[in-house]
Parts: sequence; structure tokens; C-alpha cells
Amino acid sequence: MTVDSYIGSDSGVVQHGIEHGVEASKFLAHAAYAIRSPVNIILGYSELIAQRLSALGDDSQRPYLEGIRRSGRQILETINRILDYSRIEQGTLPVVPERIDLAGLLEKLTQDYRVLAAAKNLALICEIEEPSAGVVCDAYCLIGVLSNLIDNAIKFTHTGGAVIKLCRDSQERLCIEVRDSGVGFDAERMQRVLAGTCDGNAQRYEQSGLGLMLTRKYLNLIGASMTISSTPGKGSVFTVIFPPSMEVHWEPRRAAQAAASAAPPAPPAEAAEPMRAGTPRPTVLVVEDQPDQALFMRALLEGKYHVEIAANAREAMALLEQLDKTNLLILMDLSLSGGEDGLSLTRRIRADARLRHIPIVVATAHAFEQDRERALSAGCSAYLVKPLDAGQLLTTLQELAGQAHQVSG
Amino acid sequence: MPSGEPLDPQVLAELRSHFEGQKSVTFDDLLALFVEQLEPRVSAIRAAIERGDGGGANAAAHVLRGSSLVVGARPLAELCWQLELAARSGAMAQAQAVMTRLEVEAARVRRALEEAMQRKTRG
Repeated sequence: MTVDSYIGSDSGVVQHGIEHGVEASKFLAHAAYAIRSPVNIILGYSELIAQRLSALGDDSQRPYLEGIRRSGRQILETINRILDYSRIEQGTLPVVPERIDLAGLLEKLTQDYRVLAAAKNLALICEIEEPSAGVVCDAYCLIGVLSNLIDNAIKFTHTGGAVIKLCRDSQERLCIEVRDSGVGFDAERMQRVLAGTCDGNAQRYEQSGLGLMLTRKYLNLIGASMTISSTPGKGSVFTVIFPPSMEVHWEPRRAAQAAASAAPPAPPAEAAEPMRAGTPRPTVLVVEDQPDQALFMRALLEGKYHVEIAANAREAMALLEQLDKTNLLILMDLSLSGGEDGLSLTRRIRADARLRHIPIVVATAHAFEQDRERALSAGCSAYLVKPLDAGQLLTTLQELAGQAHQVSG
Repeated sequence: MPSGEPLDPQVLAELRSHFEGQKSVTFDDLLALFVEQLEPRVSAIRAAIERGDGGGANAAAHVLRGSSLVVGARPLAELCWQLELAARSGAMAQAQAVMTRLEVEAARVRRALEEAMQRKTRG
């Protein structure tokens, strides 16, 4: 049996409940911060042990260390969700409505999650029926909603895959549908779990409960709603529905962009206009410890971006303190001298509420697929392999600069 | 012995084009920096191999590979990669064998880059 349920806005919360909620949220935020540091230390040490064993040619402990790292990352993800949830409860999560190109966003998210899906041998497909559909809403919240839905679709699907579709429903409302062929669930029970009137009890509800509760909070903030439909054993469909008031027309620019990036060799000058006219030039913080490679990156970027160079993680953090964080991108080498590598620095940036929105492009001569996966799971926005293709680098930075500008306003 | 040209002329030409119109940095600055760093980088790999430090040799070869790719020194980058693979798996005798070829190739790259810079100065 298929059960549909509807997640709309919160209602009927009495005043003392709100106060109690805010108090609890403050406590949760403090607790989350307190947990985050030791978890980062555990992750850092397990990384160090992995490196030392690898240097000794001993790979026998790798699966156990991978297990520690995977679990540690899950804890950090959970903590970040708790922090977001408590910020929303306290009303301190900034909401900045921006124009968002939905087709572009969905294609990028699909691309980002393809590695995760491929690791489970699942297909991840993006279908765009409304290429010029845009919405005005907070990008951070919308990305939070969609990331969580796609993440769940992959997590709870073992054969087949998932389809992310931008379309219209029977009432002509703009929708994003995330459909999977996974294990499914009892939608009525899920609804009760989300409402807090039923404990999770079963793994399926526990594992997706926190993420979906946060999803509901994000949706409330941006003014969209969501329907859930599922048949146990067959799969689930989560549909985010935008009210007509949020909708805007977005000129599809992707045909022109695709032509520019397909022209071999990509002419950097043509792919290099990083921002729309009238907006300030973004800064790229290049984190690279090799002076010749840093000079090369400066040559590629100067004229299009304001370029700052940091030779190690410590210098990078010091510069991040000083730079305007609203119009900033990071281009980072993974192998850094000075004790802290690019992966660790990325994790540190992603764990810092003031810095976590900054796009990080990793450029590295690492060439193993696991390096890419490690970089993406550490929180990098894009992964480029050296030798760097100038056109690809500039196009990547340009896209990320546009998104970051939308997020930061 | 490594085969082919030590530097890929197409990569160098493309690299040079990136520096056109630059005020603060020049193409020659980059080549000079690479040449200046070449011997210390090769020495770092050699020293790591001599003390049996696979991780150190891997890291040092990785650094040289990244920079070699920038200037189009493909055969040198390929040897760095072979050395990285050997050092990562602790096959130090194999790493030593690659090292010998790598030093010969590094000398070839240095000569080719110095010639490229002189040609430009004369031209």
C-alpha cells in the first residue's frame, strides 16, 4: 500500500514550549560544539596512524582505520545537523533569499553525489523537464533539503538507483522529485516520528529521522512544502513543492557554457568572466606550498580574480581571518608541508560556521580514485587533477563563485 | 632510458600564453623557479630512498611530479609516478632503480629549460 503524507508548516506550539525549545537548542548547540573538537582529534590521529602505516607499507589495518574515519565523519555530519537545527530554533540561522537556477543546482548536486551512488553500484539520474525554472529562496537551506533527500535515497537503496526530477505537478506547481527504488518505509509512521509522537525504534526511522526533521525546518524557513510517498520494499518519492510566489524565470545559460567548455583547447580568456557586471572581483585563496606551482596558479587567475597565496594550513587560516568571506573561493593542493594537509584543512574549514560556505577546489597530482572520494567526503566542492586544464579550472571557479555569491548575497 | 622530448612544446606554449599580459609574474620567473627547485627536490627523493623512508620518498616524488606537469616535463613526471608507486608499497630496491633513471631525466629537463630560457633571451 502506498501512503502519502504531507509536511507543511509547524503549528499550534504554545509559548512556553517555544521558550523550552530555545533553551534546549542552546544546550544542544553547546553540547555539539563540545563533541566536535574531540571527534576532530580522533579523526586527525586516525589519519596520522593511516599515513604512518602506509609509509611502512602496512595496509593490513586500513579497513579498521577507514571504519573509524567513516564513523567519525558521520558524527561530524550529525553534529552539524544538530547545530543547524538549534540555530533555526533560536532564529539565528541567516536566511538570504536569492535567485536560484534549479536546473543548474540539480545537475551539480547529481554530479556531486554520483561518486557515492557509484560506490554502491547505483544509478543517479537527473531529469530536467523545466530548464528555465528558477526560485527565489535561501540557497543554503534549499541545498540542505536536497542534499539530505539525495543522501537518504542512496543510503536506503541497494539495487537500482534514484532519479532527481525538476518538473510540475498536476496543479502546475514547480516541484523537485527525488524518487528511489530503495527499501521504502511506512509513511504514516514516518510522519509520526517527525512529529515527535512516536519513537524511531526501527533503524530506518532512526537513521533518516534527524535529517528529515532538519529538512522540514529548512522547508519551513524557505516557505516550501514536501510530500512523502512510499511503498515498503518498492521505493520512496520525496517531492519538494514550491508555491507560485517563489517562482522566477531563469534564462538557461547552460547551452552557451557547454559550448565554451567543449571547445578544445578551452580558451581561458573566454571562460574567464567570473562574475556578472557590477559585482566585485572575487578573491581566490591559493593554498599551495610549492612556489613554482603557486606562481603558475597566480598566472592563471590574476586579472580575473584577486589572488592571495598561503604556503601552508597555518597561513591559510590566518588569511581566512582577514579576508572578506562573502566573495571568496579556495584553491587548494592536498599535499601541504607544515604538518597539516589539505584534507585536514578542508575539514577544519567545513567545521567552522563562519567559513563552511566557502567553496573549496582541490587541485592535486594524486591520481587514485580513493583520493577523489576522500577529498569530496572531507567537504571539497570540486576535485581537479594536475596537470590543471586552465579552461576547466576557470569554469569550475566561475560556477562556484556564482553559487557562493548567491548564497552570501 | 626515458624516451621522447624532455619537455612537451605544446604545454610550454600554452603555459607561456597564460603569462601574456601579466605584470607581477613572468613565464621566465616560473621556469627559473622550477630549475632552482629541481636539484633540491631530486635530492630530497634521493635522501629519503637512502634512509629507507618509503613515505618520505613518495611525498618528495609527488611534489616533483606536480611541478613537472606544470612545465610539461612528461617523462620526468612519469618517472616520479613510478617512484611514488614503488615507494608507497615499500619496494625500495625498485624505487632505487627508478631513481637512477629519474636523475638522468632531471638533468635532461634542466638543460632543455635552460635552453628554452636562453632562446627567449636571444630572441
